Amino acid sequence: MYILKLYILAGHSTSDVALNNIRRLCDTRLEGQYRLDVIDLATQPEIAEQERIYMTPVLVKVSPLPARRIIGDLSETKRVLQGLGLHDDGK
Amino acid sequence: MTMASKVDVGIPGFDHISLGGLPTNQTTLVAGIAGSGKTIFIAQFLATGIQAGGAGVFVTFEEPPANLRENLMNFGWNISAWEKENRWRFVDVSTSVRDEEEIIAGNFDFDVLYTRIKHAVDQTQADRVGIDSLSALLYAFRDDRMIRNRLRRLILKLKGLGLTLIITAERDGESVSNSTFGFEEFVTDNVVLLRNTLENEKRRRTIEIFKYRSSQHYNGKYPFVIEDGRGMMVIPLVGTHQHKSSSERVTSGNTQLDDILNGGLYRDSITLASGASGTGKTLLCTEFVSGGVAKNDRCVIFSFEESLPQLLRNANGWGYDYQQMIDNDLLQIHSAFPETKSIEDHYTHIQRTVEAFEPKRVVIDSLSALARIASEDGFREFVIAVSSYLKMKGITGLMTATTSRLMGLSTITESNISTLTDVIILLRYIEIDNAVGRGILVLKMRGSEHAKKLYRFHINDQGMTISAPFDNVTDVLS
Repeated sequence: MYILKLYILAGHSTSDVALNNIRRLCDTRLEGQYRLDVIDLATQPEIAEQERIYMTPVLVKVSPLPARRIIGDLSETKRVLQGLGLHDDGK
Repeated sequence: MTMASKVDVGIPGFDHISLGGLPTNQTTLVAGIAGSGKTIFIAQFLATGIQAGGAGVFVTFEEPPANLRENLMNFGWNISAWEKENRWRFVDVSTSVRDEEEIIAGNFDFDVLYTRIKHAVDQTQADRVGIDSLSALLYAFRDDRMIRNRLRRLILKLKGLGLTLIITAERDGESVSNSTFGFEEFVTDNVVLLRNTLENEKRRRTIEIFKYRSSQHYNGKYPFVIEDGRGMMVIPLVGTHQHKSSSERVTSGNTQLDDILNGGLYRDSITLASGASGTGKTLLCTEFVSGGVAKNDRCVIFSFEESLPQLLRNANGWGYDYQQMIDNDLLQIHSAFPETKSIEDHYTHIQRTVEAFEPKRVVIDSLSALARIASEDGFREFVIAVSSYLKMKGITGLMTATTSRLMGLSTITESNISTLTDVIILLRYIEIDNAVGRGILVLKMRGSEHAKKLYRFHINDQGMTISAPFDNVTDVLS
């Protein structure tokens, strides 16, 4: 079961791109075996402070371990898969 | 051009060279090599704002807040207390946070940092923000071609907050070229350089205002010190031209010398007495001090040649009771080996002593002893700084030197020290017809006629007695 948190600043183009990318990836590769929380740091800056986030967008893989932070709009799919611990099967 | 309003950084001496502080609501880059004092500069700037009733935000990219709280406590800044009062906020971007592995997988920016900083500013109503340092980020992303654009964007957004912002940057070395920073493309309004160099095996810290947008400042490098319990302090070498010259005359302590000086010394004058060991400098100082005390002038002696017991004994030998003067709160004697401190620290010690005791006369015996521990520049700056400071305070100063050459400078009369020295007195052994006598010559006296002859003098248990001039003596200046 993947637990993912996507931290964005709503309104940024990179945020929309990241959202699209992660949703597509979750649908195709994780098939329901995931939970994705989207947190808008623009409205909750104290979370940015708490989680020590200094770049956005950032996707945090909370589970399964190890914890990882994947930074950027997630358009580099290979890297995203690597970060999530999934194999790139060329799709 | 109107003068920009300024913000007090809280570093003594900096307001001198910056003519009032940092321009309000502008961004200043403070650059320097590792260990040059950048973090302290920012912390002092924020602490000063808090002590004046404001609040500050410290964005740290390198040192974790716990380390900073501990280290900066050394300077008397109780950051934890201020945090509890919501006057100080850290925005923690230090390396210790990055426990999890990070992978870059697309386009990103640092706008969330702006969000965090703005949040901290809003929560505390801060008017001062310090960022220490951007170099950490530049280095971490050194392979990223877009990094500069992203940082530039962040800084531009921060400028929009309309507060006074200081950003630090680390330089690799001390070369002057601007490109060493790599920050030319960033829109900073002002640049301050902190240097920490080794000159003849002596450490020398200097600060220089490199660029000030639409605002005046003094050029050049100024020495500074970092003191426990206080922080940074710049030693300004300017200010004498701002005070009015006194026409009040005071006694040198010796009535014959006062005659030669045509009435005594000017109250705010600086006198340099030069002569080899044994020529009578200590006696001259003793009479200067005692003459002053007799008129209720408080005096301080900074002695780098003799110990307190020696000075008391010498003075007693001539009938002057220093101990009584000390007991009457009219005299302080500070005796130390020059090697105990850096020359900048000796300066600050002198300044603090004068601030606390408020003397009318100050003796420094001798400059030559202090010259041993400083680089040429450091020593020259010390003499200029002390002379300027004493003049500004309207204090009558007497400094001694054991030779007419000070530290590789050309003779006293030729060096630029002489512009701040009002009176030069030479004490010499004179050989005449196989006998050795003593001679005293007033070489220079600014603002007054003086008798320009070499006078014979004697020393006995009454002190110094000056009598008739020598005839036929030619070579006394060596």
